[in-house]
Amino acid sequence: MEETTATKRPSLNSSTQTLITLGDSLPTLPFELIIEILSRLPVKFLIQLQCVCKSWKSLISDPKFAKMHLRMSTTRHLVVLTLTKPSRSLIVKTYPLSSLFTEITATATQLAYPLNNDNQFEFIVGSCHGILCFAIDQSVALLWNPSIRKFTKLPSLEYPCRLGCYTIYAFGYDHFSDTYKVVSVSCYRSFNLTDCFFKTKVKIHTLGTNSWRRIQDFPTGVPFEFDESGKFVNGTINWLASTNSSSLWVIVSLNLKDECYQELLLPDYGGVDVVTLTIGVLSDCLCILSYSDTFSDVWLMKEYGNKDSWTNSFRVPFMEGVGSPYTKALYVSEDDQVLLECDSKLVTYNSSHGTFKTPRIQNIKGWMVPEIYQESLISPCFQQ
Amino acid sequence: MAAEKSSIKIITLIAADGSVFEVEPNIVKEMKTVQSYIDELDQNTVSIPLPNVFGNDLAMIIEYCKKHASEEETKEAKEEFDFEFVKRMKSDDKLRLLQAASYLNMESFLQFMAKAIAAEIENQSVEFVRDYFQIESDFTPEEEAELRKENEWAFK
Repeated sequence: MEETTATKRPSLNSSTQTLITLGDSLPTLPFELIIEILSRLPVKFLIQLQCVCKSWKSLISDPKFAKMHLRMSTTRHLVVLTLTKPSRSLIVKTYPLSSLFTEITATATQLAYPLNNDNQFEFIVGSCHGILCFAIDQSVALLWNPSIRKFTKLPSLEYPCRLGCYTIYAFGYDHFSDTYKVVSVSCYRSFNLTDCFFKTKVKIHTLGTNSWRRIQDFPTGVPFEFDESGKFVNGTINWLASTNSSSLWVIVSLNLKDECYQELLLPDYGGVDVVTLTIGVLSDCLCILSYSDTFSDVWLMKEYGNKDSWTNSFRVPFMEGVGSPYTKALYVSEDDQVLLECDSKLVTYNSSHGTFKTPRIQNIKGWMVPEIYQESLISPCFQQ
Repeated sequence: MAAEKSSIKIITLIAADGSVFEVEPNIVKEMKTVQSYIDELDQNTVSIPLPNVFGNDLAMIIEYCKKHASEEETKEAKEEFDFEFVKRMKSDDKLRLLQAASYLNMESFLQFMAKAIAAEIENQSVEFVRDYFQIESDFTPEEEAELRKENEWAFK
């Protein structure tokens, strides 16, 4: 994949010789222009370029440069979690996202997962600015930027694991305080004399600190267990929550700036008999997938917080031979193809032609969890 | 957006080597350095010396601006032009044009050149990049070896 057969000069001395003559007409580039160029390069290559000279090394490891690079970075990857057989240990692979929408077989790169994961259950929570968040056995969160191979393990939540109790995580960024936050929502059963109902306990860990802080509980409902994680969009975390009257769904939104909740209204399905819902993020918008018996509608909240901005972006018919609905809408390509997960399989749907394609991904069978991440230099290991 | 000073019909740009270019006002709009100079004048013709830009480079920049200022050209035609424009340039041309773009304060042309240079050096060796930018390493061989070892995975 990477052919780095660059021009190897015989020795450094001879090459500088030729450059001195050249240098007469070409003064050295000011550093601000070097920054303009470097901010457009892929992360792995920038890691190599730290060897060029000391000033480049400090630039490339500077968090301010990481932010500038992030703004320019358009490279996105698909990360896929699978299990080995028969030992069932976790394997993490990445694919360049662009190749999923072409005829080319996507070539996987296996990532070195930073933890020894024997006998653990790891779950991918989400990604933000190139940092992937994992939950381990529901009690520990791991933040990992695979592009720079840096990770940090957060302090354990220390909840006793009780029957019928589950914890859902979310990961996002608050640009007002310029901090990354991990949110945990623990849901547990509570009883009174006549009834059994669910309660939540919500905690936040701000990256760079060393503890979890308790915040206010959910204002209403509990997050749906199988939705797996809260969705980060527009400075907020969003959960699909069911209220105690079991048929009613709401979106609970937590603003990461002031850590206050808000309820959002779901789209008006226009008479469609909706069987169930999932929540996600697509094209930087909050996204609801609503399933009927024969198709799924992909709804995008074009303007965050405005219920009138819910737009039905795609109607995806169920694929032949696949009875189960799509669980996740992952990405929309420039030419309006949407990447969906369906029953542990990936599929792209071209809405203008109404056609499906299965991306050619090598060696993935059985259980898998996909997630999209942006390539970045942002380090999850923050020094105070 | 800014109302054009209708009085100016032709702008004369004088490059470092003395070569002279006569262009219409809409061509220099992107050159903020030139534009701010013109905005302060109220006369029919204006000639502007650009001591930091060579004639050959200025000719190329004007060619680029003409193409991109044109309303008749399609997006595809402009993209094709950009592709050919970069293809015929040597590395030194790109570096000089990037500096000229910075001096003339041309935002989108600067981004275009930075992108072209990034594409040229991408995935080349560290030595190649040093040569390209005429940078001499200030690491001792031991320091460099250490750094390479530390980030060994990135070199694979």
